[in-house]
Amino acid sequence: MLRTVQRGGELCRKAAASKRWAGALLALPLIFAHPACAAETANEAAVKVAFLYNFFKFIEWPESANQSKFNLCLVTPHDLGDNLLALEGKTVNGKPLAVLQDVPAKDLKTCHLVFIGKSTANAGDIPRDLKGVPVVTVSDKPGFLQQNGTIGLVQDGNRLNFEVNLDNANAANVRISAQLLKLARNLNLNK
Amino acid sequence: MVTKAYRPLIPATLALALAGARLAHAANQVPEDENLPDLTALSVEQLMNLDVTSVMKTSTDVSHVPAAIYVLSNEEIRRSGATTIPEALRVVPGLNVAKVDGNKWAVSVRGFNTQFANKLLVLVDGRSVYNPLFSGVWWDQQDVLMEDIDRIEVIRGPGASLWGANAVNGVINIVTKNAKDSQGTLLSGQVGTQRHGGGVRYGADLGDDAYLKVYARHSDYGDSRTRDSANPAGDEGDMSKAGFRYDKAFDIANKLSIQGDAFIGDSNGAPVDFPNLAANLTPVAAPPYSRALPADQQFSGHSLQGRWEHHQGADSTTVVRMYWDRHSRKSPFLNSRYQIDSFDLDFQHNYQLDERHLLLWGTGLRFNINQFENSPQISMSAPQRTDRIYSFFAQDEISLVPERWRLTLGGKVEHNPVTEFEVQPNARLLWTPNEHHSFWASVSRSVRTPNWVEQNISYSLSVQPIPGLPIPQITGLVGNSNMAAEKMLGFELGWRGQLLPQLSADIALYHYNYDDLSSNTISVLPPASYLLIKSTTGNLGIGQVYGGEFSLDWQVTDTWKLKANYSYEEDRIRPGNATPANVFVNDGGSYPAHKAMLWSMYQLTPQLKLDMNWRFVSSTVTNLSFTQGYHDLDARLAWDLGAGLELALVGRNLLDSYHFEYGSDLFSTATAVQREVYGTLRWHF
Repeated sequence: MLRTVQRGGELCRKAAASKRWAGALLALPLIFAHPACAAETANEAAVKVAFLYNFFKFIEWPESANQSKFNLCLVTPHDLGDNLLALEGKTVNGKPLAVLQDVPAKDLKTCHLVFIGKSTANAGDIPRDLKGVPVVTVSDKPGFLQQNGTIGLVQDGNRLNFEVNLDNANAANVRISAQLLKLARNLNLNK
Repeated sequence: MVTKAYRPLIPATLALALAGARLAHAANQVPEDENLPDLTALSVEQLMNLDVTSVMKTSTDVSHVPAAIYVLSNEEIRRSGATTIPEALRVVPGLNVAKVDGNKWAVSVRGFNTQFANKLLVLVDGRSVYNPLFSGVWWDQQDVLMEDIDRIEVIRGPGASLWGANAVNGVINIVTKNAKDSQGTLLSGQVGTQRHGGGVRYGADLGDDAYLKVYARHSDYGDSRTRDSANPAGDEGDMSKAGFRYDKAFDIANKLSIQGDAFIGDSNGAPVDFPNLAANLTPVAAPPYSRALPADQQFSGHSLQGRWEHHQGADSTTVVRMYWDRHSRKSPFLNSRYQIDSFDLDFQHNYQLDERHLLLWGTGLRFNINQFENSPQISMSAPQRTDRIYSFFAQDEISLVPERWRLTLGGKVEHNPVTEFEVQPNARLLWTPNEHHSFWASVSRSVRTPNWVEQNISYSLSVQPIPGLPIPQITGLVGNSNMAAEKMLGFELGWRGQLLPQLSADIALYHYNYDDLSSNTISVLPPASYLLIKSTTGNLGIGQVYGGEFSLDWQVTDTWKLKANYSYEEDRIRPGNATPANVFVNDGGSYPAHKAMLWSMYQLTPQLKLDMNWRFVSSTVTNLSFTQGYHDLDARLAWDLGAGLELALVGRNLLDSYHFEYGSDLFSTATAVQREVYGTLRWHF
């Protein structure tokens, strides 16, 4: 949930992410709209979804990958919930983006990007099985890059940030744009 | 000017700031989910600058709904100790809740409170439980497992532009938890001096984004005593209900939900005097002219509902809903029973047109089918009837000045077979000068369509001797097939404010003008072997109801919360101009002018919670009786033993051994509301 308040051209946002209140009519969080309000808040899951969408724009997959549409696969359990609705009907570079839930492990090869929720028990198994396949694995699990993941979403104070394991991306033959790389908090290179 | 990068945020903002649409939100027709923010148009840099600290809703939130709304949470219901829905509703500001006897309730909003109160629409998960027979609600058959209620949304004031005819003075939406939120096993029970019962719920994850829950409950309520006797009144009641809900998400855009329940119960009543009739409905020639019969009723029913929600992206959602609801009631004292079926199909579309306009429109079809068994005492001129009701509504919520001014315009057109087309428009304006205050105003027109009793009934009320004459007199209630709809033009004002971070207040004022109110006209037919006095229904009532409600929420400390409310209502309901003195308006008065409540919610230790709820209700005068005002105290001490187990001790009406909350009515004798103590258990694992 999100509200915006405009103050002198500034935008302050706050969100009540609690699913418990979804649908509750009164669940409108307080807005701290004092002039010093530079921090903008949003529902964490919605931000993660937006990150995933953005990653598609900055990654090039090789010819061997499906070129007619983009597949975003989600390994459950994840906490993105209904925020994924934002991706309904979206396109990337003119091609449709399909959101696939509960894809069996053996079929993950057909995905372009796989999101692995932080509560997934054996998160490291998936990137290991996909080694060398042109699939980008993303997770919000701490230490995901050490488990052969390609992109990790990391919380940095109360902001979301990301880090990239460039070696894995190269090994998978996917090209991550420099624009994205320069924003990454760090670029883990396998030692 | 909003910079381009943030433009996509605005729909989300508006979606959040849903008001009227949001009122229809949860249970009724609109999707269950909030319109979620679409941040995908933000750049990576912008995303990296977002603060993702989650904010939990607290009571300090200023709400931005341009209506007098109160949402009773699951936690509040639990802490009230209520084991029936009307008991839980007692804590809602401005609601009239009076217990008539062991199982009957009079619940209304803003005037007109009777057991057959007819200007309030009640929904359970979007299914209307409004009864076309008398335009009211049988509260005894509505209860679900209390722990299974996610929340109860109470809107004081008209909701007709969305919900249609009969949402005149208010709407109550009872929303139960979905199957996903009901996983595991829940056991609950209560046992005490006046009640015992229990329930079980089991929720299972079927995999593949499908969830199922099943539940069953049984409750028993003991009898009480009447006003003039210390003997048991025989007004005990019981109900058993079982139900299920299945939820499945096919993908992120398509959700199916199927739910159903079945129930059976008895609502007994203290003896009521019923006339003795000879053949052909003539009064008996010699005493006894009447006899006292226990006003016992048996009821049963079931409902089945399916709901399909489809999202086309983040800013467009459609919902299709169908349900079949059947209930029947048998009254041995009238030698009569009836069965009513309602079939309903409706469609709704929410669409965020652009930054300024949130559109909501929908259409619906309903069949109400009555099968009434006539008897000498009571009969319907159309015992088998089917009413078809078509409706269409639309609403536009316009952001005039983002974050500051919002206008909602909407209306519903309905076609019913009796009064044909009814148009119910509504306009609401919300002004939010800053984040701490919001002001709203609304004007609306609502109608209540005639019910089957008003149109078709023929009921012999009483037979009495006439002093000094050898013939008796019989008084009969006669319906009128030319009934018009009751009309209401309503004006409302409200303010909500966050006075301090821990203190919020809410004021709502209203002034309602009514026309064509249901009335009865007494006429005396020329005497023959008996004197017949006819009381014929009509639409001769006019008048106003006005008043206001004030409520306060104060989080005194981290462990102590106070909630208080006070409401005042007054009316000038009267027969219209130039009508003779033998006309009286139905349900005029019938409510307490003053009501107040003070609720202290205290967390003694991490494991112990103490709730004390004091309420005051002033006297109530109905057409037939006078009930003194009273004040009383309910208390609850709950002990959390961990592992999902909670035990509680509840005391109700602790300040007096008994009091009365309502008078006797047509088919009921009021009984005392007694002091009682009971224990409850709740175990979720």
